[in-house]
This record gives sequence, C-alpha cells and structure tokens, in this order.
Amino acid sequence: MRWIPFIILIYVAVLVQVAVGALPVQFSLTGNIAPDITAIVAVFIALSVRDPRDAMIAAWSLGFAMDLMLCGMGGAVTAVGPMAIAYTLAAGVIYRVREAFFRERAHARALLTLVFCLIVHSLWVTMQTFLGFAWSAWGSAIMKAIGISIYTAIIAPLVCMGLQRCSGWFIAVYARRLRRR
Amino acid sequence: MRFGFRLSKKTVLVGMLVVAAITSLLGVMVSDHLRMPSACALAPVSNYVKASTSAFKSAMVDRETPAMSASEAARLRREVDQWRSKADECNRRGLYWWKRCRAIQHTRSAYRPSLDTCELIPARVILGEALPYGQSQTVTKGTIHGVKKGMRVIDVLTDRSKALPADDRMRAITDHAPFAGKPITGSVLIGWVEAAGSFTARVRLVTDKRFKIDAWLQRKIDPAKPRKVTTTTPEGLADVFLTHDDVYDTKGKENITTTLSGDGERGLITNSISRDYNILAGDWLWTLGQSAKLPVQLRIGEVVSVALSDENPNFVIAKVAPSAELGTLRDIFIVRSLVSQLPPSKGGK
Repeated sequence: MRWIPFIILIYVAVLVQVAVGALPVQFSLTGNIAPDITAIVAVFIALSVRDPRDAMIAAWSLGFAMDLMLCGMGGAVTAVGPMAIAYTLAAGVIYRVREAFFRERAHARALLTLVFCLIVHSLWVTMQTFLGFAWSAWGSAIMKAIGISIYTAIIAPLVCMGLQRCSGWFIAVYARRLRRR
Repeated sequence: MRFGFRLSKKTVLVGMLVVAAITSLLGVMVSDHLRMPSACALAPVSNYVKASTSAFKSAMVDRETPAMSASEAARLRREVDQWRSKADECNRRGLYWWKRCRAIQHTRSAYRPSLDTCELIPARVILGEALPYGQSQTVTKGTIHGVKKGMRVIDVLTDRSKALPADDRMRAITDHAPFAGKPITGSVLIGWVEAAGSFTARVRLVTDKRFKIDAWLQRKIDPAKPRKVTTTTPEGLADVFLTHDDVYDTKGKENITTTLSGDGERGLITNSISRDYNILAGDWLWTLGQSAKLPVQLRIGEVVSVALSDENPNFVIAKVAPSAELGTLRDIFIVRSLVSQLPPSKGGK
C-alpha cells in the first residue's frame, strides 16, 4: 500500500460519504438509507492488495474515519471504535473468501460488498446497542443496516470501476490469482 | 532517523484494534473529544460539500402549488382584504399596548436587567451525519464563541425575515408571541447543542429520538368548517363548536400542552393529547416559552396526521412535520438566553 495517497483517499471518501449521507432515500420498511461509500473502498482494497494485513489496516483506518462521522444511533451518542473493529474483521473475511470469486466481475463485487456491509453494519449496530443501552432501537437499526447494505451493494460495481482507474495511486503491489495445481 | 525497534504490520494492526477497543469502552467520554477536531479538519472542504447538497436538495423539493379557479381567487382576495382591515385595527390597538409595555419595561429595566431578551449566535452548518442512523449536524461555532451544551438552536424560515436589518431580525426572532400581533417571524426551533468543542459544535435535530420538549398546540380552523371539541363548562363537559375567530378569543385559547419527541426519521410525534381536543392535521405546535434556555415562543412544526392510540383510545397519536427544512439547513442561530445570567436574588423586598 502507498499510505500517504491512501490517507488522501480516506479524506476524499469521507467527504463523498458525508455528501451522499445528506441525500438519503426513504422507504417505509427501513426509514432513511444512504450508501456506505467507504465500505466499497474497503472491499475494493481487500480484493486488490496482496498482504491481508494491508487490507485490514486500511479497513481499520476507513472504519475509524466513519466512526468519527457517525454521531448517533437510536437517540444515543455513539462510541468511537466499533466501526473500526467491524471493518477490520469484515475485511479479513473478504480477504479469505475472495479466491472463491472472479473478483473483477461486477456481480462478485456487489455480492462481496453486500456481505461486507451486512457484517459491518449488523456488528456496529449491535455493539452500539450494548454500549449505549439503546435496546429499543436495535430492531429498526438492523432494518436500516440491511437497507444500507443492499443500497451499497447495488452501487458498488460503479464505484469500483472508478476506483480501478486510480488504484495505482494507492496500491503498490496487486494481488495475483492463485494458480490451480 | 532510526528507532531501536521495528514495528511489524501485525503489531500495528493489533495496536490499532486495542485502541479501537479502548475508545469503544470509554464511549462518550472520548468520542466528542475525537469528533470535534476531525470536524475541524474536514470543515474547509465539507462547507462546500454541504452547500452543494443543500442546494441540490432545495432544488429537488417539490414546491408545486395546486391550481386555483377565478372565483376561488376572488373569494380569497375578498378574505385577504377583510383580514387586512382587521389587522390594521389590531395593529392600532397593538401600538397603544406596545407603548404602554415599553413604558413599563423602561421602568423595570431601570431597576434590574431585562428578562425578555436572547442573544443569537449565528452559525453555519458544515457537516451532517455520514449515514442516516442519527440526526445531527455540525456547525462552525464553538465554546470560544460562547456556545455551550444544551443551548437551543433556531432557524429563520422566511427569506423576508432573513432580509431584515440585523437589529430588526433579532427583535423579530426573540420578541415574537403568536397572539401578540407581531408582523413577521418565521423563526422555528430546529434542535439543541449536544456537544461543543472549541471551534465547532454538534446540533441534535428535533427529529432525533432523544429530542423531547414541552409544547402547546394552536388550532388552525378553516373559516368554512367550525370544529367540534369537548370542553369543560360550568355545567360540566360539553361539546362546543369553535370557529375561526374563536382561535383568537379566550374560548379558543385552551392551554393544550403536550410533550413532543423526535421519531428518529423526518418528524416528531406526540401521544399525550386527549381525543376530546379534536386536534387535526394543520394545527401548529409551539414552544412554551417558559424555559430558561428558550424564553420565547417559537414554532416547532405542524400536525400532519392524527390517529387514535392503540394503548389508550382516549388519547391520539399525532405526527408532526418540523417547520424547518432540516435537510437543507445552512445558516442557523444558537440562542444564548440571558435569563440564566441573572444575578442570584439577595432576598427581601
């Protein structure tokens, strides 16, 4: 990983996230939902880098940035840290399973983003519920998490195409597909 | 420069996870101290991002007005003329009482500080939530500008109010009372300061689930449709019909107070209003004006739907749409009440 350009990428990703977060779509089942752009960046890096620790450190950084930008859930002030932990764990999972997919394909990216977001957001919502004692909000927050995950997965191939174009700036060594013996 | 040790990626990763675990467990003790500097770091660029998203949302809001027939327009014009003549009469009477009040206030202020004013700290919204789990906005004023946790935050709704000179704008915002006949004000409550850093503060919006406020309800009665309500008379409970004029009379000024809370999405909700009051969509909710933090009556929102409560059929659940367009907030005011700055009473006459 090229870490200095990656820090700039985090800054840009958070700004884009704040912009799309201000333009939510409302559904009766899930309430307001918006896509998680930083999750797509984390998935893209987990699919692209060679070293799993690079993927997890990058995911931690993106998750921590998101933690700083998410201030409340279910009426309680949220703690900083759970999103970073959830991103790290989910990036580890994606790194492990990526060989089972043709990861350049759009539907594979969408599916892996869906898995990533479901892990991250359900973990985050549950951890924040425990930490903030906001038990009553858990059900509605999980529905929202599912809505956000689906929305993110739908737009993931498009964002990944954009990231693919500029990936040389922040990824030094690309992962190669394992050869079958 | 060389250190005596070399950090492996594994050590860095473990260290990061330990930091995340510690900050998670410390919770709100550290979260605000971390979030405020990060908001400052984003502020130079996020200000423009917020401006763009606000402008985009404003452009997307459907403001289409339904068509009106010529006869209906003529009727409305006649009604407006009638109301204008009534307003002139009220203004004349209001002017007389305003002069009397000024004389009394002048006497009173000669002996102690005025209780009736608020200072307004103008602020600009620069950042919202990254994902719609919560309902907060970050603004560009902090403790060095006098912002403190718990202060109420308002928005000036109308362009007409915004166009006023600064002094008049302050007066329009802080002196307003719904029945006092003041000519302008579109100021509305939008939330309170949840956390204040040195240069930025986080405002929790009225739609947040943690928002709770006591409010009073003002009926808005259609002149063509008197409203039947159950009220207490000397003979006991009785059904009476309220007309449009009664709203400005003692008969219509029942003290209907309730507690409003945010629904966590786009509105507010109340479930403590008796069905006898027969509240309907279109009625307004105002702040009580008795709080030390907000000693003025400001509009909160408008009832959009009313349904009987499942738990207690004697009460109704009313959904309230906030008067402010919370998605497009940019320039807002933080209310610094001077009531709390009074010197403590020394007792005696």
